[in-house]
Amino acid sequence: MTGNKYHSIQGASNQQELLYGDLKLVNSITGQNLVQTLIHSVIDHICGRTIPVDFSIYGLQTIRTLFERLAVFVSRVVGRELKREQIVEDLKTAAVQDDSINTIADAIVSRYQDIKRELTEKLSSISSSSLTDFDWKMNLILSSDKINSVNENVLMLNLTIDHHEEKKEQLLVELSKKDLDQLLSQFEQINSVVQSLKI
Amino acid sequence: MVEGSESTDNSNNENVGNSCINDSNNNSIVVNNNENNNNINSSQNPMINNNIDIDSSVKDFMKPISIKNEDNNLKNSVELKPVYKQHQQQQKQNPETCKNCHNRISNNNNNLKNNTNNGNMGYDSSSDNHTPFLSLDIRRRYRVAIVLGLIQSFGLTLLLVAVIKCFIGGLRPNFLVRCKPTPESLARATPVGFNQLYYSKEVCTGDEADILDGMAAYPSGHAGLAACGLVFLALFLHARLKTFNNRGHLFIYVMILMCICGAVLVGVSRIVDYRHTFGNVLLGWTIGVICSLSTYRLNYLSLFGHDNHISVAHYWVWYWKQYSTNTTTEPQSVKIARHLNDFNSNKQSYSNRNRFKMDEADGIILLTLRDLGCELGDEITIKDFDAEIVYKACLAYLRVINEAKVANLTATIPKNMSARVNSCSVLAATIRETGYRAELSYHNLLYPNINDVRRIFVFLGQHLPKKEVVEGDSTASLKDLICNHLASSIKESWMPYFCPFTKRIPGNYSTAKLFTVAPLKIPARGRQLKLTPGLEDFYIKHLRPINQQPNRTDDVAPSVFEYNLSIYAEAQERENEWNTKGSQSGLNPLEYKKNKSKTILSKMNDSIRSAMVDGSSADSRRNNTFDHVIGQFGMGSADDDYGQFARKKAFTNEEVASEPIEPKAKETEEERQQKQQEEIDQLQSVLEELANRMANATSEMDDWIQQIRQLEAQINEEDRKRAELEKEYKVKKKTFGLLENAEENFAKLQELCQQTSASLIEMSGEWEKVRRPIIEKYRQLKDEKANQSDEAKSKVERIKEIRALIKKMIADIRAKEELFTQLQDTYKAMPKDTNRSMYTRRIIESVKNIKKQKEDIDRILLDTRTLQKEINTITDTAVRTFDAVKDMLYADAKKDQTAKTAIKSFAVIDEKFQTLLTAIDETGTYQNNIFTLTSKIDYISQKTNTLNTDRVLNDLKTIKAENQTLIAQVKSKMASAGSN
Repeated sequence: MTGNKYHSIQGASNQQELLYGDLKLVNSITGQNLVQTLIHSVIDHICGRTIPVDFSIYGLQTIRTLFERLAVFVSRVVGRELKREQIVEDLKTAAVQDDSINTIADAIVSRYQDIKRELTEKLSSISSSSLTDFDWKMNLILSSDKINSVNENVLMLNLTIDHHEEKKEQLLVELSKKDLDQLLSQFEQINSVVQSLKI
Repeated sequence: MVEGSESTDNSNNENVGNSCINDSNNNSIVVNNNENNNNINSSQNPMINNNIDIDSSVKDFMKPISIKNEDNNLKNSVELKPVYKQHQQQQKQNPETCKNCHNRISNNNNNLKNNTNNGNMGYDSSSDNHTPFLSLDIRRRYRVAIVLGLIQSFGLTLLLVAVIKCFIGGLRPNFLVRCKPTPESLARATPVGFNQLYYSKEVCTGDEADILDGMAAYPSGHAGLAACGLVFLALFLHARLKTFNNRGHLFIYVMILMCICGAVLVGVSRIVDYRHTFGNVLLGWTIGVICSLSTYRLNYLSLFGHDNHISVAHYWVWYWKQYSTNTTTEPQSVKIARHLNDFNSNKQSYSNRNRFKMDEADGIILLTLRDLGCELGDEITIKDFDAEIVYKACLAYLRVINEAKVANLTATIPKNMSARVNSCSVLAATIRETGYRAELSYHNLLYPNINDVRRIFVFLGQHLPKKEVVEGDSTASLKDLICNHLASSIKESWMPYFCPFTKRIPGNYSTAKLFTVAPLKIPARGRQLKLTPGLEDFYIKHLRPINQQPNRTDDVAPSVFEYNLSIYAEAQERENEWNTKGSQSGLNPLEYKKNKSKTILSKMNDSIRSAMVDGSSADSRRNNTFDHVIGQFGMGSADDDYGQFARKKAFTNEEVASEPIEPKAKETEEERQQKQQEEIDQLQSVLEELANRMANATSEMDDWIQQIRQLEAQINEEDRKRAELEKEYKVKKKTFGLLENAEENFAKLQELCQQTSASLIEMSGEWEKVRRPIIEKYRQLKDEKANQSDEAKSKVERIKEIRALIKKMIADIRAKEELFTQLQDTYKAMPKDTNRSMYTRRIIESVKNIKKQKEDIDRILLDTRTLQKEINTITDTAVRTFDAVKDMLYADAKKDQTAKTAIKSFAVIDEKFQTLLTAIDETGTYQNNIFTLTSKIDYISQKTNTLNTDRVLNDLKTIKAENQTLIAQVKSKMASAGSN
């Protein structure tokens, strides 16, 4: 190529550089608003939101490739924790127009934290399973079919566990107060460990 | 769980079905109602209001029986009905409440009533002294009422039946059997009447009495008596058991119906026996029913009303107790008052006392009026009330009692005379409707008389509805609402949600509804916005509103909650950590953070490396991905060709590789196993090969590396040798240059040596100079450093202390907060009677009055005692002197004749004096009577003075003027009409 090295690619890899070569396609999109919309929709896509944007005038294939390349570029840039100047340089080496460079760089910088969080979350899927959500409900058992008055309170705990495979698992448990205390103490231990690893 | 809750509700349903428990529940409700609506009930039932007798909580059940004494109550009621047993049990269970409500009722109204009573009677009567006596009295009268009513009823029926039988008579259906006429007797008899068609009873051959009886069929005496007795019984039972008291007791109803049926059956049996025709029986029934109804009403307050168990005698006893001026029994205090009057018979003071008592009652009335929102002057008394104020006050009372009736009336008394009369009569009518029993019409209000006004106000005061604490929406706290909702939902029986009557929302019982969370992005102002150039643009153009950010609209609320909670929780965790660990490390927060991140990073790297070593090192790709992982954590230094997505691809490739196995899963187990085995073997052989190759390659590599190292070492050595040789060469070259003129050079060298040594000495001296301050400075700095570290340590210790103190204080504050909440709870739990202030004021007022009265009584008692003493001493001295004189005279009489006459005359004088004393006593009693009579006359004159003639005349004049103006108007109109 031009001989300039990409900051986002370390080590020589022609294949990657070829992929980046497609970033030029951005130049074919006229109007900075559209470029902005495109880059933001790319970031949204990375963040797990799909928002349909109509780019049909530029040909489906081009847009699709551009979309993919941009996604690769963005995630790479964020994964390397590059500064804005480096991003600009990378885009320059990829022969993108100056206006578009600015827009893209601004968009990436402005949503840096979101992308980073999403990437780390994706990364955490290498672990076996994780708790993603929970829901609870208090119930008071007044009586049963045999006993007239029981008056015992139980907690229905609904844990959503992500195994990073096909589906999330819904775990529904009924806990008495004792059980709940035990569970909570365990969770506290877990939390202390997590806290010790948190920056 | 869901099943459990179902069964709960089912059991509840069963409970509802069980009439016994249900009944007891109802009872308890009834008790409560009575407490609350005491005043409303009392409007129908004068007895309740009376402090004498009825325990109001029992009233609804056993109105006739419940007379003060609870033991009697129980005995009587046991015989009556099983239902009562339950009630009694309940009563036993909570006698507190019964007593309480009784006490409250009497307390509420007693002061007012007593005072007014006293006002009317003119002396202090503590009504409690009467209670046992009166209750017995009432019981006796009460039984009398039943017996008397029954006797009257029977007597009246018998009389009527007998009289009508005598006058009308008529033949019984079976008269011919009684008469037994024979052809002979017919021939013998002489026919009478029209065309000689009729015979007299001469034709009969039967028994004379029998025949006479057969000729008196109209009306039926049996039917009449049966009807009168049984209907009376029915009425009595109805009054006692209160059939239609919203309890739905079929048994009572059937019992009363049986009485009626009995009466009917007796009549029917008479028809069946051919003793009477239907007409006879009908008249008998009519007479009996009319007599029983009328006599019952004669002896009781009503036939079917709520007060139908109260006998007239009972009512009048109560009434007299309240209003009469004549009391047959005088309590002790009355006697004292009368005694006192005998002594000083000072009418002025008497009337003053009278007024004093009235003022107490007035004070309470005025207080109530002010509470009701009537604007009254500070100095005003009831005596000063004119028509306007009375109108306003009555309106204020009635607005509270019966809003609807007085809604049309104007707030102030109208100027127009006719309108005035109209509105006053409306007021009077409403007051009468509320149950006011004395005479009342518009003129009583228009020309107010102090006694009437007072009585009206007292009556209305008793009928004020007890202001319940209806807190309404404004004051009812959320907690109460929640409690109520929970209580009601617990009481509600369970129904499946698909039932048409269910109020529940479907899904309320299941846990199917999940609150899922989606990440939110909320725009925020601040430094971040200024620093990043594209952010504002993003916020404005591309960020969607929050409610569209989650993929499901249901998730919006949970997401927002989650967003807030996570921020809060993170901040808290951080704070916690800083408090527990950070502060002890003695670092800045920033430094601490940096330190921590460093340690974490190193830990992570270590753990990942160790995992790499442990794991299959053959998988180079994996190695790379882990390197990448390290790179992701902040450094970005990993040297690999595979990035995030390459890694992902690697994973997907693996998955793809594993996928082809699945379709084969349909083959038999053995085959699969075989194939697997083969594959494993293949793979293993390949693996071994690879491992061998790997080993070979590594060994080769090692060899090569060793060779390279050896060569490098050789090169280094040679380089070193070369450098040494070059050095030697340079030195030798210079020496050769210097050797040409050795002498000169030597001298120069010596000079140079000397110069350098001198300069060296100089420099050392200078160095000494410079060195000293530097050393001093160094020492100083060292000392300072030590001090600083000491200070820092002490400061850290102090910080620790302060932290401990803060913790302690926080604990204190929490404890206090808990206490506060507890106290608040208790405060909430306490009954909120907004009325209390009013009642307390009233009570305070009455207590004050009582104190005053007590003081008066004490003073009077003291006076009486001193007087008694004086009288005693005087009588003693008189008797003694009398005796002494007697002795002296007797002693003299033996000697002297004149002394004897003196004795005689003395005896006569004594007798005269005795008669004089009795005369004085009599005059005293007469004076007493005269005094009471004058007081009565005063009272009556005051009462008769209702129509103030002057005012009436004035009003008459105004009316006349009005009439004249009206007539003038009419005339002018007529004239105008005529002209037209």
